[in-house]
Amino acid sequence: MRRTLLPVVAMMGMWLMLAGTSLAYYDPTSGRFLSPDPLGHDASMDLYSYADGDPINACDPDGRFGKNSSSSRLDDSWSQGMIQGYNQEMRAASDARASLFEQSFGPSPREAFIQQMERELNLQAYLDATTPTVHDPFANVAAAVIRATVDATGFGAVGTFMHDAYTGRQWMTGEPVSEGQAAANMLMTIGTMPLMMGGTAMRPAATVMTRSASRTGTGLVGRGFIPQLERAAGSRTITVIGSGDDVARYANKPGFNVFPPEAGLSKQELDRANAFWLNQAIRRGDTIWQVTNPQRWAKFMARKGKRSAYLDLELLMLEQYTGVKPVPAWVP
Amino acid sequence: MNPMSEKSFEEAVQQFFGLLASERKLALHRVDDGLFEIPSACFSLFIRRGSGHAPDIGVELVLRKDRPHCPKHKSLIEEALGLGVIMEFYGAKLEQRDLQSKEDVFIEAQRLAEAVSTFCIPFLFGQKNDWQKINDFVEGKIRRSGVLTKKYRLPKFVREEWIDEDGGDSCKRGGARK
Repeated sequence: MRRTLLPVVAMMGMWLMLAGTSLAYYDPTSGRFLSPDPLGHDASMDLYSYADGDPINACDPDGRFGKNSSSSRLDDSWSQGMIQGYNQEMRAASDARASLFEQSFGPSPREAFIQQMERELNLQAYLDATTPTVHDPFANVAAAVIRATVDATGFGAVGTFMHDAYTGRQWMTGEPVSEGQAAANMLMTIGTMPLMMGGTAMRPAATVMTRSASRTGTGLVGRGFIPQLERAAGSRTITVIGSGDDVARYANKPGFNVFPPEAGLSKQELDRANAFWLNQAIRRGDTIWQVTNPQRWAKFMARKGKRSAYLDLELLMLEQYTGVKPVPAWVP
Repeated sequence: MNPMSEKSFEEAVQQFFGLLASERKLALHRVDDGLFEIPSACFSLFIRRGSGHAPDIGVELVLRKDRPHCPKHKSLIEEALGLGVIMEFYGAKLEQRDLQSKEDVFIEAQRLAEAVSTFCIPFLFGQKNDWQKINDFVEGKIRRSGVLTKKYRLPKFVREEWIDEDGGDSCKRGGARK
């Protein structure tokens, strides 16, 4: 059954970096800004409200005003370019992942796999189906990206607008997250605004994430969502990878996820199960612990003349993970 | 049912390696769960139940002076060489096989015992002095493969949480690396 606890998007615009100035900080728990509206009572009677108290039908990028959603601008050329770029990235990611599975397991249903990706991530279809809720084209694309990601993965998603200050290039990423990761990301982002990433040239122009519309109790997510996230953040699973002896120490500890090899499988079937298990962990948004030093283990295994699933499969898969693409379901 | 249960492993080792040892006036000792040893004055031969994902029997040879007091932590015997590597040095190949049933475990133990008889028993009796050459052969392969200097580019949600062992012969473990 699809998990519905993280449906999509309340458009909380953190346009701080894009706007070039941060005018008001937003507290999503209370659904209010932490500093008064710079426009004073001209914008709203409540100086601390978000989007004039209507976050579903309006957006308030920098805390100054709740823009009404009169047009979706879905035909905006900028939006279209971003959609194309996103779809290309998705295809490249699916292709790379399919190749990886093919390398790992020999012949694989590569074509079915890619077709499923394309079916699940037809972003334009998602965008067409998305009722525009906010004025800004950025937010409309974000909504579609996050919808696509949530539908493809069955989990929550964090979408981030990226802006390269040198080239002026802007793009959108959608990352699937579990309840816990969504909570952690949300809390981290709130705590570290503005969030700098990847050096000086690159920065997120805005972050749009699944969050509660608890202030209104309407819209796509329900009341009490943030407390759910906070609870989930405290119960995140840690997936453990490493040598058999090392991971065995975590096998019966609560909160740890260790690959349980089934008896009676061939090595190839075990590899397949192992990859599926790790894929699921990535999809859930688990933190992954390496509990074996890979260099040391590689030397040890070479001296024994043995193969290691940790080195040859698990680390290889994680190296291929690009970090911002939805991880699709494995089709056996 | 796990084909490589402790019971089936021990029965298979005692049947084939026990016979191999007794025929040569050597002793097969049970060191720990899943670990047997055939010692001699020069070398120790370990037979261990694999702890990896796939059921597996490992056979390793180590110089007597490098044998740790507490050999049950397999990563502590870094100086040991696997049977497959020794065979490779002499131009033979040890095929990896799936062990999916108890019968497979017995067949594998018999196959390994036969290989040990050819490639390892001479070391136990001091009849071969290629140990250093085999070490150099393996170390050369490891160096050329670049595994010792390989840097893994892993996503941010992957954390290094291993505990480096001291590499010595004690069972104590080193401090956590964060």
